[in-house]
Amino acid sequence: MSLRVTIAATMAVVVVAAPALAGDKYIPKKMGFAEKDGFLVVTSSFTELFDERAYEGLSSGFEHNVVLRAYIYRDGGDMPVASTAATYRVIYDLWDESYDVQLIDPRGVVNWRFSSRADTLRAITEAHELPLASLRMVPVGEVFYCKVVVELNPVSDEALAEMRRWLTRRAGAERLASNASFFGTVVSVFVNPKLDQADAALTLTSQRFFRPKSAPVPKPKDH
Amino acid sequence: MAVALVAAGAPGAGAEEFGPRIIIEKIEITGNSSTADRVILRALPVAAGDELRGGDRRLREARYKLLALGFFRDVGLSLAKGSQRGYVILRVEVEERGTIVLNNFYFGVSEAVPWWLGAEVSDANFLGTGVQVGVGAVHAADSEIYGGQDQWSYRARIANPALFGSPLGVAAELTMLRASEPYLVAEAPGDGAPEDFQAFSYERRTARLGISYDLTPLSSLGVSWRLDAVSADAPPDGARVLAGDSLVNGLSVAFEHDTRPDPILPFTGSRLSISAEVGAGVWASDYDFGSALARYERWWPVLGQEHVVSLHLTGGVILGDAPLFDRFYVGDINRLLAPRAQGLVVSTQPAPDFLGTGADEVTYGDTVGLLEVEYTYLLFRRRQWVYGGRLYVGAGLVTLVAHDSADDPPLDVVMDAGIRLDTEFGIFELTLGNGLGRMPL
Repeated sequence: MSLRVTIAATMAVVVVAAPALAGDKYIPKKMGFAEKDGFLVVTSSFTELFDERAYEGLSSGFEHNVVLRAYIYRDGGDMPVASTAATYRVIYDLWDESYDVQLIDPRGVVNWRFSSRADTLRAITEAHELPLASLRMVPVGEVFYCKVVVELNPVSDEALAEMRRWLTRRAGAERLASNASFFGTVVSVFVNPKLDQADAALTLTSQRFFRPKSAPVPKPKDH
Repeated sequence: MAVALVAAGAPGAGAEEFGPRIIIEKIEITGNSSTADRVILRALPVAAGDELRGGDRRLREARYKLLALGFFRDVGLSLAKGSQRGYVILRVEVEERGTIVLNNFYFGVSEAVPWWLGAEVSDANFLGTGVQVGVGAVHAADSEIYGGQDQWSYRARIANPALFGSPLGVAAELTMLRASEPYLVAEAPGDGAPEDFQAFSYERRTARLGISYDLTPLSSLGVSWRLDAVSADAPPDGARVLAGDSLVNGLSVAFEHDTRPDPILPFTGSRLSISAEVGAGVWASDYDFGSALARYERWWPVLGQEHVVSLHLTGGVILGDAPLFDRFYVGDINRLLAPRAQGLVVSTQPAPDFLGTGADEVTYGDTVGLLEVEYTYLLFRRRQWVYGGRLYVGAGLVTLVAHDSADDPPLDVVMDAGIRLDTEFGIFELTLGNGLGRMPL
């Protein structure tokens, strides 16, 4: 029985230690908030999404996507009260030596063309007066904050499932074996390349803010 | 709490019209020292001569299609100017990974079997051809049971999951084993003590041939034929193995649909697998039987991807005189017991029978039902070495019914808890069930 106790105790230690390893990283970011045409709008940048390799990759001739999702929360709340999204697409035209950029957000579709990669990077890593929510969703006097998730070249769940399907189809074993255990293997050792849901991702969190009663523009408030 | 979605920018919306119009002049591949060029070219959704927009879906998917082969650690794609305006060269740079896989590692000790040890190894890209080759071997020491002897099982398989780059796959497998099958001679099952059992031996030579067809990137249909030559040495009455030489001739179909983005540490998606097999005397089988097994699993993220709840449903039935080794074995169903090691029974430990319904009296069954609920907690997710780990705890109810038993269907509780790790070196699972099923405690 002592071995049973040892195994149970080991598992208990793992369970207790687990929360210490968990948790996402939220990067604090000062964002600009304003009211425009009945909407709360946000202005922010996220150039740090691109490292040197990703920046060089903009000239590969392949399409790159930056997908932004923004959520507004009440201070102290866990559930968002509103959300919005925007997509930036960019392709380098090898023969014209220019960058075609397309922005799709709640305001519609906008196309640009840049000759400089640096200007292109700026254009696809900046949200300028992006409508976040109807002002009715953000009552005057209450305190809110905003979380922004940006991803470079996100992969759909379906594409990711296809990419990792070989993991469950090794050597055709599952197709042929009729009497295999229902619960799979204890261990499986192989070179397992990391396939992320995006080339890069950032989660930014804003300062607390509120809509004042008299002033038309919300006044940012530090943490 | 209301959530207003102002708009969602879908990546790739209107993709076909975005980007310059290009013609692929040729495709250059680098970095592939062992994988043949033709294997890579077949997997690409574009070919030399194709005219398309830079934002075409096929170009965006090209990298995924190559990574889906499972042969590469990374794939880089870029375009370069071709010989004239509008023409481009598609450059494919692959970083190969080792494709030798230790699929399974069998080990343990039990009161009945002093030790068993074995492994199953495969190469998913044999000689760079995309063909999968695998071998497995298990040896179990001479058992403590009267009439028992040592057991062995050898298996070899070869498969091509995409014949000439098509959705059609073929596979073949040969298995040779000698089993020492324990059977209860005491009146009550007790605690599985070896002295309550005797054993008889049988040998099997099994050949399987199968074809598969990928209906979609996430679902497949398979058909396989099995010829099993069985030679049993004085089996007891009711053992469901014919004395002397006999043949099992079976035809089976299988369907699978798997939408999990991460099959190792699933957080969403579902998996459905259905299989059925028929063996009949009209095509020279000494065993007339039919069997069907279905399994449905679904995962739901709760409060983000950190907390995941999943449901697992399994149901199966065997009709007719299926041979002993094709019946549902309790160790393959109950995580707290040792599963068969490549077809070999290595323990006489009965099911715990937590509910006192006689579950400990059933070793083989003809009907199985299993309902499990599992909760997992994401410990961490990283980009290097140990990519992620999830703690899990699961519990459920299982019934395993032998059709020749007059008793009411037994019901038992199954449970397990542990940690699953997705690492650069493979998949590891440390669970209570694995520990308890492989040690005489």
